[in-house]
Amino acid sequence: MIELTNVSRWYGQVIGVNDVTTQIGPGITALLGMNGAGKSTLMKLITGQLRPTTGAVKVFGEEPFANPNVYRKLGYCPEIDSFYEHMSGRAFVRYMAEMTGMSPKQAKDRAEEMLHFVGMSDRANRKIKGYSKGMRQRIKLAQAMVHDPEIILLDEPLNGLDPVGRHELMSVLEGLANNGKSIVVSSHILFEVEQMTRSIMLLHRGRLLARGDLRVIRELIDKHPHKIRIETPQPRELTERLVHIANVVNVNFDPDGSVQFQVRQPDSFYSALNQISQQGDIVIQSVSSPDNNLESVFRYLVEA
Amino acid sequence: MILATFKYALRDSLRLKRTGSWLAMAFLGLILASIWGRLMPGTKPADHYVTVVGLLVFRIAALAAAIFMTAIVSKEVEERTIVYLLTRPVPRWQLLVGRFFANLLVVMIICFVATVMVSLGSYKSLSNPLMSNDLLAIALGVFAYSGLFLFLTLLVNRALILCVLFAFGWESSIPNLPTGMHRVSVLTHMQAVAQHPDIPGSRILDFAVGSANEGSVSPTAAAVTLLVIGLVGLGVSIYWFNNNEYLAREDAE
Repeated sequence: MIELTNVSRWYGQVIGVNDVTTQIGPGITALLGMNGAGKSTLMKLITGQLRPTTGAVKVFGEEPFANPNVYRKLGYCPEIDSFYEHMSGRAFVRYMAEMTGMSPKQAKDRAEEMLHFVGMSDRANRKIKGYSKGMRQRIKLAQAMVHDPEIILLDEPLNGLDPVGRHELMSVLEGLANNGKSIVVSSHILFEVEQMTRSIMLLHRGRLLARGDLRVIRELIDKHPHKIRIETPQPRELTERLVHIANVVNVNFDPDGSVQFQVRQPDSFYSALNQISQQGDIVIQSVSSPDNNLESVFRYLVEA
Repeated sequence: MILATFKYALRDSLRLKRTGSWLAMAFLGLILASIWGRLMPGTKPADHYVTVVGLLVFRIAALAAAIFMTAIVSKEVEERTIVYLLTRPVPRWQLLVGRFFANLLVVMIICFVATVMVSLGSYKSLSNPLMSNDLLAIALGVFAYSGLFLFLTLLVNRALILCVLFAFGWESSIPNLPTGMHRVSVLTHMQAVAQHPDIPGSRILDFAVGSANEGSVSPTAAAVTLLVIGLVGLGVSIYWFNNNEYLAREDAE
C-alpha cells in the first residue's frame, strides 16, 4: 500500500528523512522515534504534503503529492492542534466530508456516524474553541475517517487523551486494523506503542534504524547490559547475594544509598531478585530500570 | 467539489466578524457623501459622489481584496488549518478557484454596498447616472486586485503587508505620475472604466483620488487590461499552488 524507496527530504541544510526504504501494509504500524526523529516528515511525505528531495514515495502505486486519487483512500490526523475554532465539531466534520465529494445529505449522515464512533455525538454542537484536548483529538480522528479511507495516518494521536480515551482509541484502531485497514501511528513513547502493535519502525535522526516485530527490538536491547536500580537499606548484603549471578557485569553504589546493577539477561536477574525478596531478610524498597525507555533503545541500536 | 469549496469559503467570509467592519465602512460612505454636500454648498450631487467613490470606495476595493485574498491560503497557513484542505481529494486548482471566487464575491458585495451608500448620501436616491459604470469599474478592479494579491500571497510569507503597501502606497502615488507611468496602476484603469467627470475645485483632491495625471486610457482598453490582470493573476496562482508545498506555519519553519 505504502512504498518508500531511498526517500530523503532536506529542509535547506537540515535533513528531515535520510534514505528511508520501506513498505507498509495492512494492520497497525507504529512509527517510533524521539522528537525530531523525522516521524512527522515521513507522515507528510506519505500524505503528499511534501515531496521527497530524492527517492520515491508511492501510495497505492501513485505519487501522493497533490494527488486526489491518493487522498480518496487516505485519512490523516495531524499532530497540530489547529481547527476552524468558530465552527462546531459537527459542522467541521461535515465540512470535511463534503470536501471528499459527498453530497450534503451523505456528508451529514456520515459525519453523524463518525461523531458517534468517536463518542462526540452529544457534544458536537459546541464550538471547537471550547473543546478540551481530548475532544479535539476525537474530532480530528473523526475527520480523518469520515470518507472511510483504506489508510489512516495518525500523528501522535494519543497526545492529550486521558487513560480511558487512550484505551478507547486503541480499541478503535484495533477494530479498524482487523477490518483490513492500514494504520500508521507515530509516537515517541515506547510504552504507548507496545500497547497498540508489535509492528514498529524505529526512526532516529531521520534514518530508519530498525523495523519489524517489537520483540526483536527487545531482544536486541537484552543483548546489551541492562541497568537495574534497586533502593534498599542493605545495599551491600543485597549485592553479595546477587553478584554471584553470571549475568551481572557491573555494580555501582550510588551516594543516595541505592545500588545499580548492569546485567546481560535481565529475566534471570529479576527471578533471583524475586527469590531474595520472598525470603524476607533483605528489604527492597524499589526496583527501577533507567534503560526501559526509548532513548536507551536508540542508544543500543546506534551503538550496535 | 468546487461547489463545496465555494460554499464553505463563502459562508466563512460572510461571517459578521469578517464583514462587519467593512459594512461599517460602507455606511461611512453614506455619511461622508451627505456631509460633503453640506461642507461644499453649491456643488452638484455628482461631485460629492465622484469624490467619495474615488476617496473611499476604490480604496476599500483594494484593501478588501488584499485582506480577503490573504484568507484563501496565507491565513490557512498561518492558522495551521491548511493541512485539512490539502489532504482532501479535491484537486488543488478547484480548491483555489472555489475559494477565490467566494472571496471575490464577498469583496464585490462590500464595494457594491459602499457604492450604493455613497449614491444614497449624494443623490438621496438610487437613480444615479454614474453608478452603472462605477459598478463595472469596481467589479473589474476587484478582479484585477484579487488576481494580483492572490499570487502575491502564494509567493511570499506574510504577504498582507505587501498587499496593503501596494494598495495604499503604489496605488496612491503611481496614478498621479506623468509620462505614462500611471498606466501601471490598477486604479488608473478603474477610473478610466468609471469615466468620472472632472471634479471642479481643488487640485489636492485630484491627487487624493489618483486622477492628477494628464494622460488618458480608453475605457475599453482599461476594462480589457483589468480583466487580463485578473485572469493572468489567477492562472499563475493556480500553476504555483499546484506545484508548491504549503505547510502549516510551524511546520514550515
